[in-house]
Amino acid sequence: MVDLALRMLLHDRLRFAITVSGVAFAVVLILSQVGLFLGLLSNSSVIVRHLPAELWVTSRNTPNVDFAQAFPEAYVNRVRSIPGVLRADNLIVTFMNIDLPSGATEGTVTYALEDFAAWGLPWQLESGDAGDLRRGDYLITDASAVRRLGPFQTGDYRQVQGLRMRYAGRSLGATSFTTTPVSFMDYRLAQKLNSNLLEGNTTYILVRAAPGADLAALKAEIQRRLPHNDVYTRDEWAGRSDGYWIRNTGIGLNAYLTVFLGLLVGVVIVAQTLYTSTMDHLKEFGTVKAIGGANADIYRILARQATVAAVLGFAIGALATLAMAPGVAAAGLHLVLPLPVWIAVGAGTLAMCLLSAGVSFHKVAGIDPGLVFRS
Amino acid sequence: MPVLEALDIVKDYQEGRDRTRILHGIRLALEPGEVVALQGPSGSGKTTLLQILGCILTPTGGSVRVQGEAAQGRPAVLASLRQRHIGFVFQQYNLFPALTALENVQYALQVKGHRGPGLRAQALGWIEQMGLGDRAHYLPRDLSGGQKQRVAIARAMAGNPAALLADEPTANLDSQAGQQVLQLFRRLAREQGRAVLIVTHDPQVRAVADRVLSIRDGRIHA
Repeated sequence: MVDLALRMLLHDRLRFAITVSGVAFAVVLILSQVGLFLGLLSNSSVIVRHLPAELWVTSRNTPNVDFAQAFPEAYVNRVRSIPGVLRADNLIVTFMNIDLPSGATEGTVTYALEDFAAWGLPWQLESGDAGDLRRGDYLITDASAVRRLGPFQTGDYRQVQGLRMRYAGRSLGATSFTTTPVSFMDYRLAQKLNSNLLEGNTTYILVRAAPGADLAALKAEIQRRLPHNDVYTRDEWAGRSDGYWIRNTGIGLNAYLTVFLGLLVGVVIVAQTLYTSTMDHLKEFGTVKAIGGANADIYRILARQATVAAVLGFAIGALATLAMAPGVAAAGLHLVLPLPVWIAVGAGTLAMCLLSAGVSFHKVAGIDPGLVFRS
Repeated sequence: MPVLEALDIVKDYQEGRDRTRILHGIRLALEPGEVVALQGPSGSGKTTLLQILGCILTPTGGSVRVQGEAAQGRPAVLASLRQRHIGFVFQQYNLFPALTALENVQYALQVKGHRGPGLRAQALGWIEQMGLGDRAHYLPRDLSGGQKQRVAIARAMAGNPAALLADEPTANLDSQAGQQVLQLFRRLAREQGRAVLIVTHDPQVRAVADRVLSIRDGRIHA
């Protein structure tokens, strides 16, 4: 079979290259922005999603996991007494100051538990042992903190809230939305270091349900027994934390705007190049009609050209985005692009190109095959 | 039965607020195996008549029959008649520049609904009949004017149409190439029984035409 659509595209290689570049540019713009957006969002709730707690008890109206507020730690006993609760523990999330060798002071968002092993936190260690956190004035800080805290190793000493502490290890993958370094320390030590706020208080209760327990009923019962707190499932709480940053920082609007602009750029470039190509080939389309072709034959040619531009542009754009990933990581950010995003952007690219071809459809629908008789 | 038959064709064009009559009651029949030349000055209506006979334009009045079928109705009906019964040859060749000579013919077969593994061989057969077997894989830009026109004729022949309609097919050719093209038309009419209508200013056409019709001011003078 002779593929006139493809042959026409390849016959004018410069125009074809411009069309594909336009699509690829739009794809890179959309994928990188969506990837960065999801990367930042994943930071905001990465610890929530890794903790095996089905339910989170928070103080009333806590907006996100980093901005915790204190409530009495004894509430945990009310939760433990509820049938269907397998385990419930206090978790403190609080900001602390860490003095750097440079003389500067940085903040660290600190997660404190009595039994880290029971909750699998931190879930990945580059070095050290989380069990050491129980042994005294130790902390574990995430390796990503190097950008903010400077180089540090397991065994190094730092002053935290005025207390000389030693690194018991370096974790991996524990991040916060604001890029504030994440640290882990013993629950009682955290209370001692922030005693004015945390003495006798906690900031969260983590709840693991017994196998077969009705999670909705359990949640309702905890809420009934702790009427001045909020109770969330893990997904609700992660979603609330993500939603806070989306709504309050403009990051969501920025992402939507960039996706829209990417689509707009793609549509304009593809529509413009396909339209001028159509105009240049009007006589050929007229010939197709004169030898017995219908409008549908010409629509098929244009749709195929748009599809080829979409597939090639998407492939190039996707590869370029993947090639950007190491550079993005070096800047302390990361691209999160799950399969549904690839599928959505791929389908969106195809739709964008076909939509752009629609302008040309309109033009060729009115072609008079008689134009082939004009010299 | 005539391959093409025009009965009292009238064609009007709107020019601003005025309506201009281009064709005035044309009657014409094209028989199988016949070469008819249509001559006339510019603006006499010969190309308009060719387009009406070729089911590209619809007449304001009168009717056209192609192989006994009335050429009227929706554009798709006219396109179907063009597909099945009519081949066009144009002054400017109108070959697809991105396709080789062979592919130009093969693509015409595809447009006319032909499918299957024999398509390429069929297209090559037409190219060889035009004496261009050694140029089958050349792009149009690498062919001379005469060769392009022969490829255009091969493309017009794709699908075995009963009628060939040619619009100034020799206008861009030197006299030798023009003579070759006209002889080709004659051969196709004589050997394959096709009806050929050639609109031309070329006086050489008299040597190959069975009939020469003259059109002036939208009226045919035999």
